[in-house]
Amino acid sequence: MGADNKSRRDVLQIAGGTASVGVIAGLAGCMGDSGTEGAGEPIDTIELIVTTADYDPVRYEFGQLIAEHWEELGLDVEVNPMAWNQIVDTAMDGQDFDTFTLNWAGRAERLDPDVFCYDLHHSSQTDEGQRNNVNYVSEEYDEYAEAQRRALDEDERQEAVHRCQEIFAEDQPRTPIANQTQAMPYHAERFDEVVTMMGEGLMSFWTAVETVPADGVDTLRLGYPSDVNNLNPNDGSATHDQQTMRLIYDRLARIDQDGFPEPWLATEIEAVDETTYEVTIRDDQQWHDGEDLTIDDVVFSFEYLDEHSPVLGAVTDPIESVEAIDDWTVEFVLEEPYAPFEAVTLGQVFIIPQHIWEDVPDELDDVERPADWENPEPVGSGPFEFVEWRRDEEMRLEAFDDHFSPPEVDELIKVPGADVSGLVRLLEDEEIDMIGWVPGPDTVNRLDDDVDHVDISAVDDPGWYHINYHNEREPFTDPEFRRALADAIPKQDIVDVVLDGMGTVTHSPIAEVNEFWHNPDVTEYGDDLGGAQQRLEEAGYVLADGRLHYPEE
Amino acid sequence: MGLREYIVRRIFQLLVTYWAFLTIIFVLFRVAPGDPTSMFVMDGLTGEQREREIARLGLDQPLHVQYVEYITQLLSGNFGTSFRYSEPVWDVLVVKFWNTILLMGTALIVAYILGITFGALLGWYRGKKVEKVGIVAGLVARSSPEFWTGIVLLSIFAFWLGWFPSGGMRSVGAEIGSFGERYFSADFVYHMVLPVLAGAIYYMATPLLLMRNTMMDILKADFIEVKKAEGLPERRILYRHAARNSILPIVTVAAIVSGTAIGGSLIIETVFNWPGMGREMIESVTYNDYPMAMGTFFLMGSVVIFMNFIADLAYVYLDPRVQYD
Repeated sequence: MGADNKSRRDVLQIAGGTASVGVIAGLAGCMGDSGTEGAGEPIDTIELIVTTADYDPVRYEFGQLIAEHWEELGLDVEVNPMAWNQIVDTAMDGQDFDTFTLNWAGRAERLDPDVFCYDLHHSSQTDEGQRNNVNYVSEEYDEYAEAQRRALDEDERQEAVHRCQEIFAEDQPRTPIANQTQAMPYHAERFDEVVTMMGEGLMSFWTAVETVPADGVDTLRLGYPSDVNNLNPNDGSATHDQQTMRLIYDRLARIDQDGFPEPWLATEIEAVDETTYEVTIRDDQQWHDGEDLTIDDVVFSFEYLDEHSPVLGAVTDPIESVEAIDDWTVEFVLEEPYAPFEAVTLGQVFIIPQHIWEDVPDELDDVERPADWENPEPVGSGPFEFVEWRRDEEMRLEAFDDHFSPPEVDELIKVPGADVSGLVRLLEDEEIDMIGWVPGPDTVNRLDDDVDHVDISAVDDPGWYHINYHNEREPFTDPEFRRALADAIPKQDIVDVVLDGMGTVTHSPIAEVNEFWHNPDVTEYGDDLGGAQQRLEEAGYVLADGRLHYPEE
Repeated sequence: MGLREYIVRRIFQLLVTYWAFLTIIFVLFRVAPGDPTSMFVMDGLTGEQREREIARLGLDQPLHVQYVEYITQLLSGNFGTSFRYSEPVWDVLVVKFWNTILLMGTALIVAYILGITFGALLGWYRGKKVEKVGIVAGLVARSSPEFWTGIVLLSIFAFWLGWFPSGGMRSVGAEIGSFGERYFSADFVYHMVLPVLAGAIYYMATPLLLMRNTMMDILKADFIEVKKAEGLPERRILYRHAARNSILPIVTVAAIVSGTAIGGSLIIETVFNWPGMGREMIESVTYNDYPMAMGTFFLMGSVVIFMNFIADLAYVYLDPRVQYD
């Protein structure tokens, strides 16, 4: 991108240069009379698990870079690329790791701070299979993570979320590295206005609904590097499936472009008290098959999905009861105050037609559970109506003109590709209009510079590349040691070189782009190898024979 | 031992092969790391959601129960329901199987027609410059990976000349109805040209080199000399007598290669964004979609096993010297 960026070679030379300095420093330590005197055991080899280069070149490359810098501290680091499945089994679930790289993708529902604050870092979430897989335990942190969950007042909640970030940054249970820029290409001549959204880029709901086509254009052809798995609202494990189904099915609330839930199929969402919500829905909506959408459908959806959907059934967990209190109003009673209710629960649960799903699976052959049904012709009430799907070829959705917010385009065609480069070719050939995926910095630059009809939509991803430490395993039990590791990470180089400038250095799990929740004043670690060395020395760690030793007991 | 007995015995062997094959892939997928929910962890599946999902898929059952269940289902012709697609495996497979068969079948037919023709010529022109050029070209084609050939073809015919589309099986937005429209429309054939060419170039070398070698042996045979002495025109000796007699080994190889080619369609399908079985195979393995993965392996494996079976039978039929044991 910019001319002032360092090249890959520069960075490698820097790393090489400091490596020799490290060796000399090591030798000097050896020659001095200190030796290993006043030192504990040498620190064992540290394993750094990264993805394969194939799965994610970014994590693979910055893993190598980080390892080189950690070795400058006198650590022996073994970079271990693993297949994604194995990372899930070993590290994420099995919690058998020293350190590993990860990227939480941002998406609309994660703009609410609850997942990153609570699920990832609360001490109740440390069992195997849960998300606090680094085993971070801090009473002080827990207090604020719980507070943000309870606080219905936005400012109060913001305060708690900010405190969470401060404590997190000080403790460094994981080290955030960067937010990648979601730079997605599109056909600029076919649209007067292209809408995007943080966390989702051109895959966002608002892109499909609000993008304004140019004169004479009525179709939006959206490419994505894989096809939808299924359109069963009971499943929805895959983000891409949910992103597609939410065009066909409505939700009571939608996450707006700033990341906040707004009433959608609902006209009003009122918190009567801390645990009671009254939601009034639009009284003039129809299903795609012409039937009227009633309050009974809404109640049915919450009850049915709670019972049958492994995914949405967890989202509805905070609900104690749901009941229609008049023709157009439903009352939710929660088990306890739950601030993310509108964003996480109402913003995710699909409203499905009772007249179709009440017969599933009983009236169907060979289908034992609702999630096993292929739902061949989904009937929803959303802005797009399902027309046809030829798996791995294309899926056609048509604008549902009776919707209260009909799309600007008449038709949306989703085009899956075997890989991103195939989609890029289709875009260059003007066979498709948009790619809902980041094709990699080189390709983005080339498309931007050389292909006239293509423009780039760029917005930072609130998802974050980071590195995890096993907080209950030596030597990562020591927060000072983790801070030193964090300081040694060349975050800026990673953004400049590995991401080719398409990203932002970050110090918090809540990204800068997520303005309201982001805390800009947290302690910053990174890009300071000297500081890291000094930090270790002051904490009593001893560098001897080029190898870092624990402090004397 | 008679032909009938031989065939019966081969069929028995076939069944044993199938059983071993199914058992191996069953075990293989189960011991591979991860489960069907692994790939969705970063999409937001929590531990609790994953457990529910695993229970839904019946994967909390002991392995031997799952195995017996799978084999029983299969014997009644049921491949199960894909975890990922919530759709019967067979419904997904049939479409993709046809996509692959049409693509690779066409590529192989082209490869063998060209390979045999040019192979015969190279054998005939033994020692001439033509032969050298032909062999080098054949070897280059054979040793270039399919994806590379594919990309070269794309750069030339899709980007540079703009004669052919850069991928996919049909134009975006094309409407289709019947099976006929699906596979015999001009749009489909137009999209098929480059991938077929890529496959044909890669698979052409085997029959080419084999044909040339056998030709050289045959051409030394006495009856060719006799034919020459009879004063028959060269072209007639070449194609009527020499080539015909050289074709026997090709038949066997063709059967086996076509099996592996269908299995190896993955690369061409990926380069040309062709919605076929090869891609499905890799994806379902990546996602630990066991029923789907086993379905694809079963079908692909069946093609290989069946083609080998055909090759064995064909050999017995074509070459009386082969004994039935």
